[in-house]
Amino acid sequence: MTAQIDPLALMRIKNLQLRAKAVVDGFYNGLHRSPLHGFSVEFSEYRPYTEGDDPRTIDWRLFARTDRYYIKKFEDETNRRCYLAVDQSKSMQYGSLGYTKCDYARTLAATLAYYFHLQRDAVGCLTFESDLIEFVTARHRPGQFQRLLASLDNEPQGTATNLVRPLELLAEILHHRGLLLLISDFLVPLENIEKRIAFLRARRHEIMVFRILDPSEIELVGTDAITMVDSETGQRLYVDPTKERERYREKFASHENQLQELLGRNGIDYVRMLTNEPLQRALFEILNVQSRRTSSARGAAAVSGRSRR
Amino acid sequence: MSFLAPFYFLAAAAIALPILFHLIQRKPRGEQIFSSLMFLSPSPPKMVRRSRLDQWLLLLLRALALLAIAFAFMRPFFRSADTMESGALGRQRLILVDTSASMQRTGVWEQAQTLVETAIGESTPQDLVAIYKFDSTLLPVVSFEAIQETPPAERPNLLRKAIADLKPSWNVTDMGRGIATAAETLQAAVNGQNDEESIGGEIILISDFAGAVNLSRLEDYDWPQSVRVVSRVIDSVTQSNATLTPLAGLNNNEDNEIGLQLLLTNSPTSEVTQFQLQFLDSNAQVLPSNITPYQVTAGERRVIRLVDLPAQATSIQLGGDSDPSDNRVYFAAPKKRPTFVWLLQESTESNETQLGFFVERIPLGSSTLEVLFKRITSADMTTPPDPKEVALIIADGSIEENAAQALRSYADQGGKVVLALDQPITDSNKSRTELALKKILANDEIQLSEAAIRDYAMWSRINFKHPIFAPFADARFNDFTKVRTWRHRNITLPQSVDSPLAAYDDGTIAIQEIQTGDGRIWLLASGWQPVESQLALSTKFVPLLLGIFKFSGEVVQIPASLYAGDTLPVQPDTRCVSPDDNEISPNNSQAWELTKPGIYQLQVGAESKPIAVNIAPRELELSKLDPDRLEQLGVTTGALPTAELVRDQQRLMRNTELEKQQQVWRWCILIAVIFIAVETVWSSLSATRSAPAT
Repeated sequence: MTAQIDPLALMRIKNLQLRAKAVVDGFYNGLHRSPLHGFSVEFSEYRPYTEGDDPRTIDWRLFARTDRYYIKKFEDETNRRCYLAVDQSKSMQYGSLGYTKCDYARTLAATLAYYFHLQRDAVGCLTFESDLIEFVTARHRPGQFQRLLASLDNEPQGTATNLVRPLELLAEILHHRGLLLLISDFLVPLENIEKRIAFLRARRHEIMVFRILDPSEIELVGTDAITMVDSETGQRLYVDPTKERERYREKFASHENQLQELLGRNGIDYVRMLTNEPLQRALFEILNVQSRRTSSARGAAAVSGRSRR
Repeated sequence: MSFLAPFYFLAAAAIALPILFHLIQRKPRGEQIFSSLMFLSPSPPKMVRRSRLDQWLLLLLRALALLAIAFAFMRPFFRSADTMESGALGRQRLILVDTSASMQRTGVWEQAQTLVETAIGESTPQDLVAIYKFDSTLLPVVSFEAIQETPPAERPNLLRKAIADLKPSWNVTDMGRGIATAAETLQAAVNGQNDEESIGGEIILISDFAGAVNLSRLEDYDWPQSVRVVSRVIDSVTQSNATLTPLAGLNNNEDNEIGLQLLLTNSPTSEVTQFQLQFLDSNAQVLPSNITPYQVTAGERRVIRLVDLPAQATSIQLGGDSDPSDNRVYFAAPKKRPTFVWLLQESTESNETQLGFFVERIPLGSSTLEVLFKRITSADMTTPPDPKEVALIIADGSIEENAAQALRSYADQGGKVVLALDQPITDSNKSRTELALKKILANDEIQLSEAAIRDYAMWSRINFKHPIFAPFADARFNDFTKVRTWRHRNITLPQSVDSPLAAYDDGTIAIQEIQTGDGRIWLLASGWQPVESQLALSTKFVPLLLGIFKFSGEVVQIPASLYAGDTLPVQPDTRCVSPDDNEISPNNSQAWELTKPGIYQLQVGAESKPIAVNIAPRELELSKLDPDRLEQLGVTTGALPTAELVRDQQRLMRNTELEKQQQVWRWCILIAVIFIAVETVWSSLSATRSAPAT
């Protein structure tokens, strides 16, 4: 069990890199092993040769000793591409805990980037509002992590959220298959999103959605009537929380259910992160998703193996 | 009522602030920014509007308090009628015009006159304007005293006429001295004026600032604070200008040829690069010569050496330059004056046993003097020569009685004689030599004998203070021990004769000087031939004989280079004639003033000696001085404030003084405090009335 770091204490650290290291170093227990086999320097196991295997992989020395064909298997070095898409729209500038959702999202992105970087994955990053702000290509090389931090450190301009255009651009930019981690509050109408997400999935990207929410967005707090100002549109609304609380809760839950269904239909994992939750949870969620996918992949491989026999 | 700072009345606009604050519609309280309103529905608000004034008296009291404070800051005061008037103000203006040689350049003087006209024109009737000129000294053209004696209506015409008649000189500039003297003159004029009618003194300096302007006088000058300098710089009319400067006077080179060194300078902005040189005679007619043209690019300078000057040439002129004022250099070929040195010897042959053999080899002549030697015997010397023709007679020990008598007469008339007893005294010649010596020295108590020397004798007790030996006085040159004498005579003179210039180490006379009338006789107890001593072969011989020769003739030396503005000491029986054939009268300090370039003539009887006078090289410099340099030397520059400005300042000072005396602002502050106190009391009372009872 690793120690959980309070997000409020974490956000007091000014340097984004230190924040990411503080989270990952407390969590990290070693490099993960890729479940996929391939050519590498690290020996994995011997397996009897079967038809269809590449003859180049046969260990001829073992054949000389045992008169059997064995395939020598190595652990493959990962070449997975991870993209972190971070929403920096005006609604992400909201925060009731002394820091904004955007701060939390940037810290989360930096944490994930550091985590994947340590795993020798190629990590890229893109920030967006209503349009793409900045894009850093996924690479694993010295200085890449600093480039990602510099990109995340840019102060957001703060315009309205529009997920449609960024998702279209993502589909255009990301040619190679990879893991896409979408970090946003998703406080947008969902009508036009599904088509774009489905298109991304069709390009065989693995997608995970981290929805960042402030605790005060889940539940309307307070009793006094107040003028609410929309952070994105500037629209003013006189609201009495006591009257509106129940209606808000219903609408919010409905929207979230819609989102989850939409993502579920497309095989996308959904994680809701409140800004008062420790960031390590995101790493656990990623591990869970990875292990779930690995087991399902092995199961599928076993099924296909049995069917082949 | 008047105000010292009326702009503070704008502060009264602060009265509007309480009203504005009151009337501004307040926004409803409790506004909160939220991330998204997409899940919210509006609830109808209840707004209350409040925009009417209900405390009129309080508002009035506050406004009056603010008004009183603003009034206090305006510094009000009451002005009486007698402080409104102020007398007419004027300046003391000294128009200082540069009249040095550089102002002779084409178009420069016309500009200077225009600038003076402008300065006169911009003066007000209250100003006191005087004109002074300066080159090497400051001189009044129209002094302050003269202008004060003139009726005000006639002053501008007087000034304009004076500047129209003024011409530049050929003298060198001493701008520092001119400005310093002008400042003192102006300071005296300012001090002579009533303080309430004078703004101050102003020097309008009109100059081309050309050449190497001398400002050294200003370096340690304590500049008077009430005097300012306004520089009006005259620009060159011609872009292309070249100057010809004499580097040195006429001189003889090694081949005894007379040569001339000139410096040809071309201005940096010049468009001409090729120049011709022409020799001119005394009537300014061009003489034929074969001087090739010279190429000098813009901003460069070139040294030109000329030999084989035509005999009639008195000047050389630069051709091809657009400004002719500085293109002529005068020179005067010196005429060598012949003078004789007689060698009175035993025979007229020239060999190493004779004294004259060594003297003839000494270059006694100079660029102005040609020395001719003449060998004679005692038989030839029957009458004394004229000392003006024969500068020196050198006689040896073979001198006869009649020749000795002539020598004495020659010396009495101012002639110089060296008598060296270079023959041993024997019984056969003792009486003859003694007799001759007695005749020359006009003394019968002289005795001669041959000195008994074991090996050699040396000079000692030399009088280095005497002009003949003075050049040897330095410790590096005063060693005479290598001048050994193999044989000499013992000369016994009467006690009345002065001590010898040098003696032998046995105490007997080596060299004795005897003064007779205007002349002198130097008696040597030995010859300088090698058989007698080592003197002729030593390094001391030539300086010693040159000293004796120069001692014999005191000629006034004319400087090699004379420039316009220099003076020449008056010489007896000589007339000085200017280039335009007018005889110059000496000034108060007995010197001739050489006022313009050209060939002057020094006439002694029928003989005439030419002297060349040129423009000073400093005036021919093409560079210009930056007028800001005056400020660096502590001179207060810039124009005086106008009479209106000074009057405004004086009025402001008077107002400030009145306001300080009256201090009305204190009353305003007191009224404001009273208003604030009443407002405080009233507001507390109204608050108490409106509060609900508990």
